[in-house]
Amino acid sequence: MAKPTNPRWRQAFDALEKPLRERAEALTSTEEFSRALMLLFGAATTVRRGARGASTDLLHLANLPAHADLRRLARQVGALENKVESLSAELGRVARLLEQGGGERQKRSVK
Amino acid sequence: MSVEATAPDALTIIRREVERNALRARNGLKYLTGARFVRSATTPRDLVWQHGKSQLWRYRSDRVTRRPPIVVYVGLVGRSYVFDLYPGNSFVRKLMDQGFDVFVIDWGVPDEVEARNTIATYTLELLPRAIDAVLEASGEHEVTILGYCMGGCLTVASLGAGTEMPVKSLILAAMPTDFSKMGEFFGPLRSGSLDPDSIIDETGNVPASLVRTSFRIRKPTSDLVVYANLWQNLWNDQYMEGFQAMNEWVNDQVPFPGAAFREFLSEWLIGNGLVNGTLRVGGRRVDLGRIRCPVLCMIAEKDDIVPIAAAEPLPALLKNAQVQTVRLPAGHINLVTGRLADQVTIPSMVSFVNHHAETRAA
Repeated sequence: MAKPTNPRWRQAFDALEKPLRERAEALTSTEEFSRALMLLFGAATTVRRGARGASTDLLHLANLPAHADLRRLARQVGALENKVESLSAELGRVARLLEQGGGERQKRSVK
Repeated sequence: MSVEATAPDALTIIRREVERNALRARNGLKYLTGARFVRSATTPRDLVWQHGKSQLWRYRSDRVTRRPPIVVYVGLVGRSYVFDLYPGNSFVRKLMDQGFDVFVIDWGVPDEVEARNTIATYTLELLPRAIDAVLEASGEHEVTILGYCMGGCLTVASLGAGTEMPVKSLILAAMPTDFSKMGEFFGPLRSGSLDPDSIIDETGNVPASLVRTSFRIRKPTSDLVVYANLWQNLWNDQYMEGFQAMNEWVNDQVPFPGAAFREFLSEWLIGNGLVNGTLRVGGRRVDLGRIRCPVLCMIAEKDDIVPIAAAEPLPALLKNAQVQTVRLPAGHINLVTGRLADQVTIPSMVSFVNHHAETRAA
């Protein structure tokens, strides 16, 4: 069965999009473009950090906790949680090993 | 051509267009109001292990006929629901239909808590623990691993660093290996001329928006094409289901944990450690010669994220493994989604897994 042809508007769109895509890809695939993009992101991050820093200072002046303090707390709680999870996993593993060892000892004593 | 012969055709066309425009209006409104055409990740599953935000899911199946279980995961910046996009287009469901016991690892969405996670956190700690949990839940003593994209990098780094995971066979799909061939986008990072800290945000991670932009910039007119396709197919409910699920996943990147990113930059991008044999994880040297299980390398020929040149050196680096390479006429994502996954990816995997099951039994 023949593939249905695209409507005219779509054919026109494709005809326009192809050269546009080729030019845009030629531009965006350069190292210079990538550098500019990352510098832009970097600048935005710096501005955001500066604004956050200023708001943190203001909140601290009023003796109030800032977002940065909450993040630090979240990080500490998360680290603690991970440690507890690791310890309980390790304990579970040791308990299983002990159980297996106990089983082996029982088998040996029956023999 | 007579007028009598064309009149009914013209009427049919007009009727069809009127119907389609009514459907377009309905679906357009539905889409604009954010209503769901379909839900992602609906295949029934159970959480069998969790550490921090990392989770291991087991998919419920009473038709498991193949051993060992298969564990599937992506890398650190993608969401794992790509494997269970929506009913009718679920890689997990297709694997289950083939008799596999399927487990999926989701690394979670990092925030300030995960900012200090290194590559070693994932390769030497979380992955081996998740595999232990798979063995415990399934009662098996081996697994098959499918590492997709950067998930493959995590797997070879883990095994190459000497973790003792009982991997019976390994499938590495669209895995970047030679990072010098990953395209000019990574140029400023690769040359070391850009300070990584300049793109790490206040949570300590590379923001998801930058990760998303880095993917979208490769096809700068893709948004225009997406909307043209959307208008053309807006009347089609089935198309809208696929469009919504896929579009959501494509735009749903997660932040890259800051410490892992710095390490990824120095060891993988700048050092090109896999190809140069200089890769270190958590202070351990990664020796790909340690990988001795059968490996299936799946290379997507139309991959615009991991170019063929970046993927194809992998088989030669796995010196001590029995490697089978398949090149598929697929893009990066449709390796695991859509008809191509049905027709090409899954049959290749099943044949590989079966082949090694048979040789082992002989």
